[in-house]
Amino acid sequence: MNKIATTCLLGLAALLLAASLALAAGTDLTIRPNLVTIGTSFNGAQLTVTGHVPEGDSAVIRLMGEPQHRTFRQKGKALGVLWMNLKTVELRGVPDVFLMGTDGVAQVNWEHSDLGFQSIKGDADDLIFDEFIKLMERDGFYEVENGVVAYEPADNGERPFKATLAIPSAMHQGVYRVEVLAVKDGRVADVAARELHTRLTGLPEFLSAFAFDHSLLYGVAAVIIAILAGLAMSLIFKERGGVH
Amino acid sequence: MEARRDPEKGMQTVEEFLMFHMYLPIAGNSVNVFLVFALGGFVGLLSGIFGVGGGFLMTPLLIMFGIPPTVAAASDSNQIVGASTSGCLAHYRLGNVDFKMGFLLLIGGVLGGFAGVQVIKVLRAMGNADFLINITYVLMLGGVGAYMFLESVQSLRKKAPEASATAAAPKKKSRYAAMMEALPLQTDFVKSGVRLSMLMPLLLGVMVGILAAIMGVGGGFIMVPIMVYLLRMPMHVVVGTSLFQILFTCINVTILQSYTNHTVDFVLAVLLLLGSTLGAQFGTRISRKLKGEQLKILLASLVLVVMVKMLLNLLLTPDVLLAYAGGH
Repeated sequence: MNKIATTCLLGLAALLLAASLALAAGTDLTIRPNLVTIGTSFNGAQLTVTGHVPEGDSAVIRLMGEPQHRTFRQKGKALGVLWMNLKTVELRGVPDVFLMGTDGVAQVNWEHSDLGFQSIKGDADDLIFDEFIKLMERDGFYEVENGVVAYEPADNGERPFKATLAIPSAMHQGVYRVEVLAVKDGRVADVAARELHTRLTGLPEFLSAFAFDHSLLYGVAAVIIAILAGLAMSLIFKERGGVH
Repeated sequence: MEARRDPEKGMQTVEEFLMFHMYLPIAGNSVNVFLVFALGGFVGLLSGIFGVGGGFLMTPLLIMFGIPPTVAAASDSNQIVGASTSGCLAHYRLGNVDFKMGFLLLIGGVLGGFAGVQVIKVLRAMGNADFLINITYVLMLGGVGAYMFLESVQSLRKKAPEASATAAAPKKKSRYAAMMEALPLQTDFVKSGVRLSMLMPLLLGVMVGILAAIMGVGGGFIMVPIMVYLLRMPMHVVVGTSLFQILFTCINVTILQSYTNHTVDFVLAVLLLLGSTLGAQFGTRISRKLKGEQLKILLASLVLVVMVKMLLNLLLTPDVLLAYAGGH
């Protein structure tokens, strides 16, 4: 009897604590913009993330695309000397984009931490996964930016932060998840997430739709315009008195 | 285009112009407009001079700029359509295009292309397609480049400066020449100044088509030496006729790639075009100023440089051991 009452009380206390944490000292974020439009002059964008984590925690920002199955060619040595693509390897559940922003205070190798790229490793082979990260980092799809998160003085149990992430120009149209991890002693104490949408507009939107919905016409149009450009250049040069 | 819409802010200084970027909808990345324009100009120049499409140079550079390999190759074909139209017309005005020969080679090339695609399928099924493709590439480029280089150096030394390239052919009758004369359907190719069986260009076209399909290139690099050495055409006519043939090959590739794989990026192709059509015009003018032998030596050097680069790629340990699937 007594035991049950104690358990109930403890449970109630835990619930209340959790509720108060969520209300007062929880984790939250706002992203600006939450829609990135990709027009003709798009060349990457800046994403501003503001929010707060519980006092005493540090904020780690992650931006990820949807997990996908991706195939790659693995290079190896043929005949012991010649490097070439030897086999096809598959990675499961890896996002096309994975950006991280940290405060740069803790001396953590984020690439190899469980909160970083390791979190998507799954059952992938060590060597292949390492090479995959190298490839993604080389082409700017995966990146850890240390020191982009700045804090303001804590207030009322909340620690406000502000971070700026550079969105690469090679983002595809789609939905991305931006999350802030409240990290305490290397472990995630709390998470909050928002969706970031990217959408083609203007000429890119038109051309992309044309290429996919009317592909034959698109190909023919591309050829005709190329020929006309060649003809035009040829005529310009003839008229400029370019003697034979 | 963008600059005109925004006259207040856009491109007031040279620096801003050099940094101006444009987003490519199919490639899914943005590129520096000036850089791509310059690249197009350079490759257009080469095609005007030598009658090659320049895909061997363009595709890897575009990949370096962050364009996916398949999009790079397909958009390059689209661009070559413009450059070869421009170059072909310029050469046509100089009387350098042998249409009869061009058509026969083209028909052979198309047939060979179909055959080559089947060969690739078999090789892929056997599992060592990449190995064979790479080795063929290096051996072909090395062999053709070295032969062309040595041959033109020799004939430059031997020949009196006046003598033209055509004078060399009838001197001695090799077994090859005798065989060519024995073939049926002999006909005159007026522009090239040769008399051959119609079967010759047709068969050689098939051969180039097969190789081009296997190697995934336009074939200008193989076609030019074949026209020079096996069809015995004068170098200047070779350049013009090769451009004529490349034009049709690339029209075919552009439409097929757009239709089946959606890999032609029109914005990228137009940016490249602006440079390459201009470059092709200058290239043709440079080509005219050079002697046939000089052209051959330069092209041979270029072929050898590409071969060395490919060989290094095969021998040096790559930075990253994974590559995106779908490229060559």
